[in-house]
Amino acid sequence: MRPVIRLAPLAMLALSLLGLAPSVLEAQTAQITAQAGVGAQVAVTGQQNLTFGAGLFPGVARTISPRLSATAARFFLSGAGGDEVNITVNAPSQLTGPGPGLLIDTWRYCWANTNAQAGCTEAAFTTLPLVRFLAANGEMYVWVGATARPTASQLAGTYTGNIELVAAYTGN
Amino acid sequence: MRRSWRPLVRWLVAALVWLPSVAHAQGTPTITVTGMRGLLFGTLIPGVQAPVQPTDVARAAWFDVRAAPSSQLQLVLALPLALQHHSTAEVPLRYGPAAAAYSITSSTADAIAFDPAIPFTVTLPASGRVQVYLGATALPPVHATAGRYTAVITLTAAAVGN
Repeated sequence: MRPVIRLAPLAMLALSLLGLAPSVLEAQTAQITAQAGVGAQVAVTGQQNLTFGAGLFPGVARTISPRLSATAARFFLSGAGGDEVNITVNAPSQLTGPGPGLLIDTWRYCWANTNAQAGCTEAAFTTLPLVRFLAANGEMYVWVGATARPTASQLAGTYTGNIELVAAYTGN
Repeated sequence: MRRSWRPLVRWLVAALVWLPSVAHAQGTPTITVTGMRGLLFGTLIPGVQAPVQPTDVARAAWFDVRAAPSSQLQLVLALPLALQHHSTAEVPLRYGPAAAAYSITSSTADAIAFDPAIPFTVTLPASGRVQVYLGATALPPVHATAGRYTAVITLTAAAVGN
C-alpha cells in the first residue's frame, strides 16, 4: 500500500509562516497595582468634664477658665505626629436640669501640645475651626471653659449638657 | 516507479526551521506592554482627597508600550472604581477627563492628556515606543479604616488597521 501523507495541514503551516495566511490582530496586556495606605483618624478622648460644682447660686454667674481652672473640661487628641488638624467644638447654650435651662455662654478653649494647662494658649470660640498642628508625638490637649448664668429663680438641682470636640486632618 | 514523499517532507521540515527567522526579520507586529510603576497615593488622610497627576514622575502609574514603528495601537485602560482593603472597606477613585497621558518621547514634560475612560488610538513614532501615564484622585472616607489598600489597573494595547 502506498504511503499517503496529508499535505494540507503542512501546507497551511508553511503558508502561515510565510505570512500568506490571514493575519490576526495582536493585543497585549499588562497590569500594575494602585496602592495607598490610610492613616488612622484623629482619636479624641474626653478626659475630664467641665464642672461648675455646688457653688453655683441663683443670680450669680460663675466662670470656669480653660487655662486656670482645675475643673475645666479636658480633651486629649492623638494622631499623626506633626499633622495639621481642624478642631471644632460644639457646646450648648444652656444646660438641662429641673425646670428652665441654665444659661451657659462665653465659651473659651485653651490648647497645648503637652498636658500643661497653665501654659496653654487660650482663645474664645469662633465660628471658624481651630487649626493647629499636633505635637511631634501626635498629641494635643484642649481645655474648655465657659460662664454659667443661673437666673435668680433658677431651680436647684443638677444641670448637664454635652460638649463635643471634632478633630479632622486638614491634609497639611 | 514508486514516488517517495520523503523529499517533500524534508523540504517542509527545512522550511519550518528556516521560516521563523524570516518572519521575525520581516517585522511581525509584536506588541509588548510593560507595567513600569504602580499608581502610588502614599499615606491617605481620612476625609482628605488625594490627587495624583498623570505627569507626576514619582507617583503616577506608568506603562511602557512597544510595537513596530508607525503602527497604530488602541489603548484601553481597565480602571478600578476603588482601592480595596482586605476587609470590605474601600477608598473610591475618581478619574478626570485628563487623568491619563501619553508620550512618544519618554518624557512627561510633553505628555498629551487623554481620557482614560475612553479607548484611545495612538500612532507609534519611529522609536516604536509610547509611554502611558495614569493619575487619579483617591477619596478616602472620613471614617476610612486604617490600613493598606490596593487595586489592579490593566492596560491593553491592540493593533488596529492593517
